[in-house]
Amino acid sequence: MHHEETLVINTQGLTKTFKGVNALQALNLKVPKNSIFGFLGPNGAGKTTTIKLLLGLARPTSGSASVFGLDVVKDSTGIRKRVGYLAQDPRYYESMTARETLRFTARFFYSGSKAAIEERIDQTLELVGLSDKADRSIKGFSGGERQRLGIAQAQINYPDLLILDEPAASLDPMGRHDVLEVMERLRKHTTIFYSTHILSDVQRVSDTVAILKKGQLIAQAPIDALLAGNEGVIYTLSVKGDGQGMEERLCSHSWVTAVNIVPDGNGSSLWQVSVADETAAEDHLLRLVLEDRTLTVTAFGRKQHDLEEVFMSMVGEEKHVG
Amino acid sequence: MSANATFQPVNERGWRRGFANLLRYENSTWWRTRRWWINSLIWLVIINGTLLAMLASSAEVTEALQQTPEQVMEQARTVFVVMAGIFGTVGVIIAMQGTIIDEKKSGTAAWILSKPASRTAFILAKLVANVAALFVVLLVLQGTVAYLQLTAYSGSPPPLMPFVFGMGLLGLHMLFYLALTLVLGTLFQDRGPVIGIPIGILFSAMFLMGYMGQFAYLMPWMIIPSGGVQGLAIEVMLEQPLSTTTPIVATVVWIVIFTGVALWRFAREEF
Repeated sequence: MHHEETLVINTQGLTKTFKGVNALQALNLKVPKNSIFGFLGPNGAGKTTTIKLLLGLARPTSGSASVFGLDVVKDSTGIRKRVGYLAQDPRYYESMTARETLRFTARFFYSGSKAAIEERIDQTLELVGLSDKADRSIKGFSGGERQRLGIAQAQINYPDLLILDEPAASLDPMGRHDVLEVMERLRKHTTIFYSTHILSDVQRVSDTVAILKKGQLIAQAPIDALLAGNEGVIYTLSVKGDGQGMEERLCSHSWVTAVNIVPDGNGSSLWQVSVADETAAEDHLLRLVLEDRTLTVTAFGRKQHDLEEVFMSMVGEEKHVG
Repeated sequence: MSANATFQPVNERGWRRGFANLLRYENSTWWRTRRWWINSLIWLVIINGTLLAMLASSAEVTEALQQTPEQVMEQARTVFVVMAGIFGTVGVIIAMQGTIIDEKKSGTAAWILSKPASRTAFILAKLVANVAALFVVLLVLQGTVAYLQLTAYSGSPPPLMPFVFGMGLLGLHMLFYLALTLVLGTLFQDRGPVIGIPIGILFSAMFLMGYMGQFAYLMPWMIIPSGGVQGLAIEVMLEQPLSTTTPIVATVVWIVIFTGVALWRFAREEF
């Protein structure tokens, strides 16, 4: 398969400047087909700017970008035919009902068979849980209901690419859960490119992640690779008892590269054992420690970073994301 | 996705992409809401109400000033053209002031343009729908009621075609301000200049016409009575020879320029 066919979004040196300020600097982003791509970064990092450039709502200052191999400047309409978009703060015509909004949206894509379109609208309303509010004016909708309607209108056209800007931002935990479920359901059919500030959601559903800071891409990798970190393989053990002798014994093995013991003050300690050979560690590490009858192991596992940890270490001083 | 195989895709291309859908929506904002009859009622009271008041009091005035019924009819048509020309135009400006600005500020324009709709279609749908609605509410309805009033007063209808052509010139006058308000909506981010500039241009004619010299011919001011000028619309209604056609040609040119600039500017708008 050609490289272009496997990438849905491909940007090269994409740059956007507003009044001399670089909102986006030479962004090289590659979004694989059928991925759920999490796009992270602190406030003002350039996430929404990137999305607007991809949709033709803004023009790049320099560089280029393509979606489905189509140029975002020259073939914007062609791209938008195949994309569904949910804005960060979605706004619709207030005089319309949810059903009318979806009908209006659908007519940008489809003509003919009214019955088929109405059926699609009903399906979509059902999917986002708005069937009972379908004929109510959206003027009275809550933030969560607007967000659900946003997801509904974004996927009314069976898009090949869903672009969601903070899709779960204004939802309660149940609403967030529903949105993530919808995203997971849609991944079979479409590529989802979404920005969010809820890192646990990204860790749950994304398979690839990019992190943007001050308009620059600082990381882009499959989520597993990102969570593995760059410290090599580390195993952690929670141990009760004095482990000084064991530390020396472990260090004598060639596959152990370092042992770091952090006492917790209650006679227990957290051991971090860095290893060069993962298989040897899995086979021998726990057995070796348990040979010492003075030690009790209460927990054992491979160290996993969480996304927040990775994000904070990369973004540095930034305290909030969004 | 395969599931969309049962649907027939929209086949509009180029600038027309999304036009039919947007036009349907824009029309619905007039005809599926109270907007059309509220506007009709307000401007009927202001424009035709004034004409009615004038005709109702004309018997006393005619006697006092020793006017002929023909002179009263001429005055009635002048009053109608002034009221429709000024207040009808104010109606156009008020109706159009938020058309673009509100959508830019609220985010609905960005929402629409994230769909496969062209920016030209977005502007033209607003132009076409508002021209049609405002012409019905401010020209056809007001003109018809005024014509019936004049007929009822004099006992015989005034010449129809001159009246229609005079209304046509009033329509051209309104179209100038409609296109101007539209282009200002694409150029500014606030309502202030969008309503202030057209109102300023409309009323400046009353006070500054005498100082404008030849420039006055390049504006739509001479179409309606203002600043001591009888007004081309009145000349047409009274079947008099046109004193000049330059303002008519200039107004058409302005309308084309405003529409062109609105399309050009909106195509470069960033959201």
